[in-house]
Amino acid sequence: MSAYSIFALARNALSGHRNWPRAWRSPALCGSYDIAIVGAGGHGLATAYYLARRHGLRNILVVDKGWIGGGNTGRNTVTIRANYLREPSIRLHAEGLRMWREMSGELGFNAMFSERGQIDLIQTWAKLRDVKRRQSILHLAGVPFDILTPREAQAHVPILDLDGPKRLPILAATWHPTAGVARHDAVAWGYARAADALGIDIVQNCEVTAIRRQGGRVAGIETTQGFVAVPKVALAVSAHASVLAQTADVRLPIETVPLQAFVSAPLKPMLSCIVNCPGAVYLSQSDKGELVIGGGSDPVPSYVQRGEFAVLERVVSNLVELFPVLSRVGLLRQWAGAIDLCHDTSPIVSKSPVEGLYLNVGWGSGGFKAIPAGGAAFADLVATDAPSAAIEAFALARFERGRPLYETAGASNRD
Amino acid sequence: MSGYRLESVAQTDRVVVTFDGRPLAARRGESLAATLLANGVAIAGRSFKYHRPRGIAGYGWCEPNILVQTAQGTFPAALLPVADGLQARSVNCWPSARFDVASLLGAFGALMPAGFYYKTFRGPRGRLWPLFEPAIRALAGLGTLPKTEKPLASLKRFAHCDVLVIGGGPAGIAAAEAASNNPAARVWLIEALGISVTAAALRNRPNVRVLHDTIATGRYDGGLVVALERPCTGNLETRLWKIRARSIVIATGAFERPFVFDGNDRPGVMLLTAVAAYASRDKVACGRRVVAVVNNGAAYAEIAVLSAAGVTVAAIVDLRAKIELEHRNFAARNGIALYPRHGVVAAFGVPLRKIRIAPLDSPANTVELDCDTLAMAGGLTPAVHLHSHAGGKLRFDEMTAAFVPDGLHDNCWSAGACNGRYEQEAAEADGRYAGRAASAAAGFAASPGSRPEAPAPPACELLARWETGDGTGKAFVDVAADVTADDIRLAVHEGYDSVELMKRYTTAGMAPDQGRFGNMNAIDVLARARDIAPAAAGTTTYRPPFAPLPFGAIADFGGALLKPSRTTALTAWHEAENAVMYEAGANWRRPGYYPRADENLEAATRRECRAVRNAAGIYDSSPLGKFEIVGRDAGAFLDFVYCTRLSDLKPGLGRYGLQLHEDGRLFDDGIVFRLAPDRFFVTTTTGNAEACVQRFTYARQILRPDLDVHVLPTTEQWADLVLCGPRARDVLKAAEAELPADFGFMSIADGRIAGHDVRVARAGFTGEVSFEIFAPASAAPDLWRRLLEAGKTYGLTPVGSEANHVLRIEKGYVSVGHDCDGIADPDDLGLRFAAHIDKTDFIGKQAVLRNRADPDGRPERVGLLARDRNFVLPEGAAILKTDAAATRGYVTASCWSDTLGRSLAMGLLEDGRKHIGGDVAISLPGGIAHATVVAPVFFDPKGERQRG
Amino acid sequence: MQLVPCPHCGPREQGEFVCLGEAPAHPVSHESLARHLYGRVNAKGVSVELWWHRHGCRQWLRLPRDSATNRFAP
Repeated sequence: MSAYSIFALARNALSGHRNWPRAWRSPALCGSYDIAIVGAGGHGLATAYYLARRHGLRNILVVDKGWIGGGNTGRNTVTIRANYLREPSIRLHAEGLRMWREMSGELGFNAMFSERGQIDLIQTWAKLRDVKRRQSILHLAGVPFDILTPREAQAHVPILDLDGPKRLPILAATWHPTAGVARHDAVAWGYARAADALGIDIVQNCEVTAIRRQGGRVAGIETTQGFVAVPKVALAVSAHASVLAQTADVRLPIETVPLQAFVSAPLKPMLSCIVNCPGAVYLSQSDKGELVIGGGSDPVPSYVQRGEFAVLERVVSNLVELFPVLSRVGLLRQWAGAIDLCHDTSPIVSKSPVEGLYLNVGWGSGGFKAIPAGGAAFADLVATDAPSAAIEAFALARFERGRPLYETAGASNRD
Repeated sequence: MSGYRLESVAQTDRVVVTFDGRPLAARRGESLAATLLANGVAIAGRSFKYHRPRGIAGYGWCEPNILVQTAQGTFPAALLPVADGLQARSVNCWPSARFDVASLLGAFGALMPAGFYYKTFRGPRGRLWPLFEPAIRALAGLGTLPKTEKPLASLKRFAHCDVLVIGGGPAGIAAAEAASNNPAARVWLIEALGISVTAAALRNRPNVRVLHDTIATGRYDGGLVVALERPCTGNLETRLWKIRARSIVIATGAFERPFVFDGNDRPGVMLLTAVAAYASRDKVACGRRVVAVVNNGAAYAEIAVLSAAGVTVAAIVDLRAKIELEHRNFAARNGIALYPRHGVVAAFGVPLRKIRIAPLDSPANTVELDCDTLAMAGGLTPAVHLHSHAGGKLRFDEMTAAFVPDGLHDNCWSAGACNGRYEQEAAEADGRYAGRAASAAAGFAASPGSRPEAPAPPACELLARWETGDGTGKAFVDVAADVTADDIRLAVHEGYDSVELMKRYTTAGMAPDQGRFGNMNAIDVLARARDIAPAAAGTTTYRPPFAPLPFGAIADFGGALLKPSRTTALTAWHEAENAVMYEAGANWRRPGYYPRADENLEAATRRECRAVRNAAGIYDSSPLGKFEIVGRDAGAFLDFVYCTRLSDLKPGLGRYGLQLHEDGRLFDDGIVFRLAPDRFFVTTTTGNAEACVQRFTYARQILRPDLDVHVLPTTEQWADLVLCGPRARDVLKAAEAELPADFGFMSIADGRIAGHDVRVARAGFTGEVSFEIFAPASAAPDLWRRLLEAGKTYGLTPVGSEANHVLRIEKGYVSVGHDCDGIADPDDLGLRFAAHIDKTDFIGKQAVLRNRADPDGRPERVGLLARDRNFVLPEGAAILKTDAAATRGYVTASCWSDTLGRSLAMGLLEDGRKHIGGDVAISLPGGIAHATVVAPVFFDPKGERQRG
Repeated sequence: MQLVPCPHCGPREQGEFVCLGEAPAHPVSHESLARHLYGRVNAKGVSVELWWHRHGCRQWLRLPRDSATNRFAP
């Protein structure tokens, strides 16, 4: 892998940028591998990278029905944070924040992680109770998270209106300074390039249609380009986890729903951090100047990657109430990803009842931020067959035992 | 570029606008782009990435370059109507569009190929991006926030029609005419242009409505079309339409395609249709010496329009070798030099001064032509956005080298140019067919017959070639996003070789014009770089909105109307008494406390608590959920819905009951009263009242359709005034209450109080003698006042939810909203007495059984007494495990109790009941507090006071 | 937003409805509890869903709908 740098740019400028090496190969699909990872999104690619880097495994396939990062990795609103409620999630994402800070250096690819901090606006007493509880747990885990007055929050978010009429007053705010954003595609590309350089085959435009079982264990995968014999299959997909797992007779506690995102026309910098009003609207400003905006998931299950206008209206109504100064800014684009909502809105990073089938699914609206930490922990699981402490709590068995891990800090929570 | 007016502006239409501080003479109502061109303003803005000088290149929605800032926001200059006094500024430049400091960046263009961000700005350990980022951010972005005082508050309109026709060109008008032949069919036509181009034929049809200056921005599932009326007025006249039609005809036309060569973004390089439209519609010549470059025969009609309008066309550069005789004759007749089989290699000058052309097959033999305007006509690209938004498929049409709609989608017909039928007659025929078909689908016409065949195009109609440069210099495919052909080739070369990866790596198509100008050429460059057909390359997904929608137009009303709050019959009284109102869930607002004089929250709460414990209190509990469950099987139904047995209740009595989720978690609690053998009166929590409507109807209709039972929500019909405290009976007596003599704890009966018919229950949430008085909402204000008067001598005090919170903690009552977390079931919460597991079946039974078989490590509700009795533990504080690194529970509710003279708390603690009597450490900001685990009832544990 | 074909009220805006999605049965046995409570087919294609016409007739409806196109089956 040739190193990218300002010097490489200058050198290549002299030759008209005709000598850059390919970022990754386009290998043909082989008939067998040691491990097949289904899904070339952030999670699948990170898993491949850490399998190679940390466990020295090379004979690995990453296979995707579309293009690299073309699922929810390239559709999400890139909020990276650790201000969760449940300790296993907090610990995973706190480790994740550390890995995000190191990512560009580790991968030799600028993922543009930008530690901007996040403001949450609190409008009800019930939510204020919830954040006080989170503050206590987050401080124990060493995650900075403070409760601010509305005026203190406005110092971080000058466009916030505190004086106009509000249906619900802003009672308080929270400040999570280590939260950040990154360039979503670059994360997938950085991991893809680094994994490819370690010898991993990334095959795009090849759909996995079924997981073939032999008795209680995995025999391989059926794809649109033929059968691949492989003893370990690692699912790192969204939207199709249920469909694929059921080909191996595994039923998951997952429902697929659209999650929409919106961007505005580009504007000069006016918002330096992430702002979230839980359940109402969240936004940040990209390096291009666009406001990247989201709300909650659509209310009806669907595999279709497009959203309802009514959801846009709801989210934008909340946006304009909090930030009336944005009323004359234009919406440029709306789109949706199909997210897999797990019953308890915590993910499943787990072995499955079928030997050799591993699950890294059900991340709901929160998968992007978990790419490095989730990918690394999943790689450990696939390589060693034993869950690390980081992901023990995300085992599928929690449902068998009737002990789901209800999380209330996700963007897609519905109650 | 030296534009001028072809005819002078009538005195009455003359207005003056300013652009970057410079006054310009304008014609009222024309677009600012026309004004700029007429005044010879060649450089009107700077490009997004390289800050290159840019001018107007297109007309209407096809103009990619120039956004301007006004007090109302940022608008495309080609859409912004001119009014007297309009002040506009160019964007993305400083100090002005003509002299922009940041254009120095252009000198480093060679260091900024596609994806250059990803390759640098990292620093040795990848941590330097935060240093570079602010400077990079400052250079990006177009426009700033408008500094108007008032936010945009636009009105929304809703419409239903039978046939909606989108687009008022030849195909759209033909479609609207055909669709409206049956006068019963309600037909709407929306047209993006402000000027009236609608045919006379539609004018006298009462069943046709036309919206001008309205742009359809999106098509959504179920035939919903969203459109913006007067998109650029930026004030109350802007309106968002939500139109639902039985069937839709899309007749949105097509965009002209530019060519790709060095300097094709220079001010003066324009689209031919735009140059013709400014001349014919706005009577503005874009320049004094125009050269046209074309690759198709249809373009000659536009050149003829230009000539006829009096614009000098000096030369035509035609990529084709075989040019139709009539077009050769046209050129000769008008003295226009014709260069067959030539393409443009490069353009020079800012603004445009000359172009270099060369034969396509011998590129060395270049010729230079002087011109101030280059008009490009690279064929047409159908506007398939609306077809695609809701999931319509596309196919690549080889003949026109463009993507066209592939078949019918959701009763939505594309017709005319957006369906690849460009010539007027063919478009009209297509529109007529689509109008008939849409009308038929909506039930207003007979079968429309078959679709007219596409007319065979004349020989050598279009030569499918657009890149004519020699590969040196900057040849743009997407001027709005500053993406060059070389950027796309680099992306393909590096492996970003599908259209989606290329788009994301280069940002082609992601600028404000969303690829309308450049997408097809980007696909063409990619396909050639990969040596595949454009059809195989495919296209990216079209996303709504087609045109920017101001957030203020999308938003519904904010403030008090955003989620209208619900008021009880007593809200006005509470507010008049200066109660501090809290959000109580389900959009209700309730008094938190009633501060007197200079009391703060704590003081008011203590006073209110003392009143309840020592005298009497009264509170407005009207938001509490209320239901009547009626029918022969009402008891059996409640036994199924509740985990508490209720079917054995005697009429006139009530019982505390629990509802569980199917997975065993506590869902809701409340008191269920039996009024008669077949009639129950049920109260639920405020927050779950709505969810209970759903749950009860679900249980009745889906889970137990065998039961004869009816569910009637009565939350808003009954006001609920709760009178409690040791003097409550005295207050009732003074209020002339008529209640049964033998009216014990948990009884319910109808009676009269202060002259009002009421239903009274001996239940409450404070642990004192308590009368829950249900009165018709209309009677509540008078009843409340009369009770307060009657209670004056007994110290009757209105109390709010803060005092209620303290009183219920003292009693150890569970508050579903406060104390439940995660998987907590009735056993965990200490409510096993209300879980009658021996019943045959109820919702949640299997889960409770499972939990009982696996009891270890569950969160159990306990009381917590801080070691420092004066210290109130913070709600939410974590209870630590012995190693202090992890938690095993948290404080769910906490308060200061005047009654007990100490702080009290409740918590959920892992295996909590095993720890009763032991100590726990509780995490505080900057320290630890110690507390003793106790049973969670602190006051009157036997419940003697409430029975008394 | 789709129009929901309510058999009692006619086609109505989706906003009037609550969609419960795939209908979980009421579990009656201990053994199948986890599958009943949490397992979802989550079909990509047509499945019968439960819809509640909250702001209409308040009837629970069993409606077949295609999750791959969002269309209600005829």
